[in-house]
Parts: sequence; structure tokens; C-alpha cells
Amino acid sequence: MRTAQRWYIYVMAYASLVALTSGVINVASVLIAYALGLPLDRDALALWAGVLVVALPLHVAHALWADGRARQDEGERRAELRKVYTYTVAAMGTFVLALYTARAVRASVQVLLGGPVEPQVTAWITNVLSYVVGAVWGGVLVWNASRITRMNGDYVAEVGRAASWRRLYVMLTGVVGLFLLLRGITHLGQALLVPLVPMIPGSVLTVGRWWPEALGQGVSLTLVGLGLWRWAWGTLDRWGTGPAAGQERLTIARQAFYYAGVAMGLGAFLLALAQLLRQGLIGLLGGSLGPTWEWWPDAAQSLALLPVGAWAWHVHRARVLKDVAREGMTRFHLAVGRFYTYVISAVGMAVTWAGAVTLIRVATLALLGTNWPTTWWREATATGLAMVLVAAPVWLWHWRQIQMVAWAHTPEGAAERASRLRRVYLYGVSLVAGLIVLVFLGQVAHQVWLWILGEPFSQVLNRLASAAGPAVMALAVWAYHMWVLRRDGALAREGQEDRDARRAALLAERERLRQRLAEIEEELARYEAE
Amino acid sequence: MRREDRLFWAVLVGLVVVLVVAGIAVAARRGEASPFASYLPDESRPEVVVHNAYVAAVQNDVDRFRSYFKRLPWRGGAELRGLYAYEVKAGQVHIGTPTISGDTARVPVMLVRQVGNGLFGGDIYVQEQTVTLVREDGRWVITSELPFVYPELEPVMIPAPPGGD
Repeated sequence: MRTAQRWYIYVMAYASLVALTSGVINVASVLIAYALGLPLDRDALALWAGVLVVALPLHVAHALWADGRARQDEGERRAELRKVYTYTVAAMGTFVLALYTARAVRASVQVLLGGPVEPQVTAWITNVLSYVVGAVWGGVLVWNASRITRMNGDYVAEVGRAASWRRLYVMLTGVVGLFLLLRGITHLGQALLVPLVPMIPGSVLTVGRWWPEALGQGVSLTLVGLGLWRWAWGTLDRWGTGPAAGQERLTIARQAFYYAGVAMGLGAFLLALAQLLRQGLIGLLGGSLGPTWEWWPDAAQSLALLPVGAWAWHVHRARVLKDVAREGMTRFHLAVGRFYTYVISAVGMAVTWAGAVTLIRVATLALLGTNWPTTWWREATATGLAMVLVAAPVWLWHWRQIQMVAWAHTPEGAAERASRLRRVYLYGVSLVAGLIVLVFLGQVAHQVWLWILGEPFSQVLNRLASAAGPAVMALAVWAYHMWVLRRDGALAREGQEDRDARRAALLAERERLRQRLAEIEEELARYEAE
Repeated sequence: MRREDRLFWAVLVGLVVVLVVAGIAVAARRGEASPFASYLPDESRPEVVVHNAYVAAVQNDVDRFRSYFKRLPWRGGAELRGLYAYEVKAGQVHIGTPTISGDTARVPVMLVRQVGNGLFGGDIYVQEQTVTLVREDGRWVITSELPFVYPELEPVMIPAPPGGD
């Protein structure tokens, strides 16, 4: 009964708060526009004022009901559903605050740098004031969540799963913040680096500037992203050194945040590196990158992303290593670290696989073709090579980490070989590869049969080249992973044989010692009889 | 004051300062669409005529915009009320070297814009078009459309034919 009532109160309180948020921001926007002399949007005002007058009393009534129950009952204050409500309100507030702050900063920076005031000055001021109202309302929501947390009285001392919602909220805020930060940096890179090189050859006059818009986006995303990420980082630091440090440092959410940072930093760095490598290889192979405006913006954003990706990777990895040095390799580190290693390994292998497919296609046409493709092969080769050169080391390094544990003759090795994660990974990759073999090897056989039955080789070649790459690579991947599975099985059997042999040796030793003990007893008995 | 509090107040004050300065900048620029668009004096060259037509569009100066055309390219029963040139204001128009053949000139124009929809960063795209001009009485006038500029038209009441409904 209490649970059903709790569900009713919090769902109603949250739904009415969402409606209230929409009403406040939209009514404020309409009234600001009217106050500044723009025509009154009666339809919008009627709609959102209607939402507001219904949502406000509903939310206040249900929020007061919930607070009243919480004041009287400690069980209510500690209830998991109350934590879910608190942190979803906090998440909504953070989202609204970040969104409208970013919009206000973007509009301001664009105008300060000479960008357009659109569609007119009054509308621009209306928009910016509406963004400010949105940001303030987001702050009010966050403050409200903080008030509920203080009332609950068990912040960072929750019991059971209630703490997970607090950690999840901070972790997701930090991850979203890092993503926005990386996005902002690429915009900044384009806005600051692209104008350094003349993009349009033959241009004699220009009107306007394109970069204030990019710079506004870059500054707003970077500021908001950095703010969210830094707040999450600092909060996790505080929890990790506070009274509940021992418990807080060993949580999956904390480790997942750091590993997500490692993965995002590595991904951004490698993406940028692959892009630059591809452009360099096209140039090395004598190809054309096209006009400056086609390649330079991509190169500029890669140049900006490269150091920031490396920085993100480094700081998160350093924190993982610091936690491990302080706590030792706990089951939390092992669980999240293993998942991370398998995921990165899978992504590295998939990209290597895709790059190799492209290279095999080019090679097939080069070896068997009569009409050498002179136009696209440079680009295809550069793309394939860049993918393989960047992704293969990532795959090999991470896969080696996994294999060093899994194929060791230790209890950890046996546990790793028997783990569900490894079985899912190996059988999953084998299944995907097997299905690709089925489809593409069938296509290769089809083309070969067409050729045998009289179709001109030049006609089947292109289709053959397209199917050969996926077929060959999938066959290789399938064969390798099946071999790994067989080897896992053999090691498990060897382990079993080792255990049997050891058991037999121990039994024999026990028997020998028993016999020796019997001899000693007999000899002692003789002495005592004398 | 704690370090986190100092950081919070510093960010908040910084944002307020940015907003106030932006507000002042907007107020100071009332009536001026873009600081990067101003008229050039020598209109004897076709590329300068195209340039100044874009500046007139950006500044929403309908009369001056109209003066650069032989005849406005928008037809129908409507009056030109204003000009919509957001793409030009938010982007950058590059005007190339004209190709002149007798009294006809073709001027290449390219619009550079950045749109922020990419997963990482934005895409910069370039659109290329051509503006055609003719020389009349020693003065270059545009005979084609001016790419990336659109009209805000006001419908004109056309009287019904006698005896009609």
C-alpha cells in the first residue's frame, strides 16, 4: 500500500514538474517579447499559461505531500524511490541549466565577435533573456534537488541501492560534460585554425565572416562541457576522500566514469589521428585532397581534437591507476576494467577488419583487373591503411592484456577463461564472422561459377572484389576466434589433468607417509616393549 | 569561502559580464547588421557591384539593393518589403574574379557556412553560384538572381476585372 502510494506521489510530482518547467520557460519567453514591444503571441500564452496554472498547484500539492511524509517517517526519507525522484529532478535541472546557459553564451559570443543579430535586435534580446530565465529555472530545479537531499539527511550515507542513483547522476553528468567539451574543442579548432589558410582560391572580395557562429558554438559547448565535467570530477574526488571514502572509491559508477573518460579520450585522439593519417596518405600516394575547403576544416578539427583527446585519456587513466595503487586491484576495478578492455578490443578489431576489407578490395582489383582503377584507389588505400594503422595497435594491445590473463596457468586465468564476458565476446565475434562468411563466401562462389559458366572475367571481377574482402577477413576472424575457443577448452582440460595428476601425487604421498608412520609406530612400540 | 564556491561565483560573474557586454554591443549595433559588411566606392567593376548588392541585402537597404539590378528577379503581384539574407550574415560570401565578354560579365560567388550538426565539430560547406551582369550606360547592373538572398514580399491587391466576382 505504502509502495503504491509512494509511486503515485513521486510520479505525479515529477510529471507536474516537467509540465511546470515547460510552462515557466515558455510563458516567460512570450511575456519578455511582449514587454520589449513585440506583438503578443496569444495562442502561445494561452497554451503555456494553461499548462502553468494546472501544473503549479498539482506539483506543489504532491511535493508538499512527499515532504510531509518524509518529515514524519525516516523510512520515507531513505526510500529508494525518493532518491530516484531527487536525482531525476537534479538531472532535469542540470540539463535545463546547461542547455540555456550554452544558448545564452553562444548568442552573446557570436554578437560580440560581429556575428548577426537575428532576426532583429528586439528578438535577439528576447531570446537571450528567455535563455537567462531558462538557466535560472534550471538552477532552481538543482537547488530544489539539493534541498530534498539535505532534508533526507543521508547524503553519501544511503543504504542499499539508494546510493546508486546519486552516483549514476554524477557519472552521467560528467560523461555528458566530457562529450560536450570534446565537441566544443572541435568547433573552436575550426573557428580558430581554418581562417589561417585561404580557403577559396581566386576570391577577390568577401562579405561577412563565417567563424563567429563556429566560435560561439565552440565557446559555449566548451564552457558548459568543462563546467559539468569538472563538477562531476570534483564531486567524485570529494566523495573519494570524505568520511565514506572506503565505500565510495570502490563503486562501479566511479570506475565507469573514469573508464568512460579513458575510452572517450582515446576514441577522440584516434579518430583525429586516423583523419590526419588518411589525408597524409592520400598526399603520399599522389592523390588529390580536393580544394582547400574540402580537407582543411576536417584537418583543423582533428588538430584541435588530438591534444585534448590525449589529455582526457591521460587524466582519466592516471586516476584509474591512482585508485588501483591505493586500493589494490579490487573486484570493482576488475569488473569495469575487464568490460572496458573487451569493448575497446572489439571496437579496435572491427575497425581493423573494415580497413582490411577495403585494402583487400583494392588489392583484388590490382592483381586480377585488366582496367586498373586510376582515380579512386589512392583514396580507398589511404582510408583502409589509416584504419588499420590506427586500430590494429589498439586491438592488439588490449587483446594481449586479455590473453595474458586468460592463458596463464593460474586461478585468475581459469576464472577468466570460464567468465561469461569472455564467452559472450568470443562466441559473439565468431557468430558475426560466421554469418558474414556465409553471405560473402557464397557471393564469391556465385561469381566464380558465373565465370566458369562463361561470363566474361571483366564483368565478374568488380563483384568478386567487393565480396572477396569481407569473405576473406571474416574467415580469418572466425578461424582465429574458434581457435581461441579451442585453446581455452584445451587449457581448461590441461588444468583438469593437472589437478588430477596433483591429486594422484598427493594421494600417493599420503599413502607413503601413512606407511612410514605405521613403520615408526611399530618401531616405537618395539622400543617401549623392551 | 570554499574553492568550489569561489569557482562558482567566478563563473557566474563571468557569465553576467559577458551578457551585459553583449547587450551593450547589440544596443550599439542597432541598425547595423554586420561589422564585416561595408560598401566599396569603385562601382565600375562588376565584382564590386555584386559585393555592394550583398552589403545592401545584409543591411536590408531595399532601395540601394534595387538600384544594382536591371530588374528585380522576383515577379508576381507583390512588392519588395525587405530582404532575408541570414545565410550571408551567418556565413561568408567570397566573390571571385569576373569573366567579362563585351558588355556581359559573369561573377562567381561562393557561400561558406559552418553548421554544427556533426558528431564531433561542425561541417563547413561551400555553395558555388554565378551572378550575371550587363553594362548599361557605362554602369554594371545585375540581370540574374543574387544567390543566398531572398525577398520578403508584400502581397499587392489586384483589382478584380469589371463584372467579375
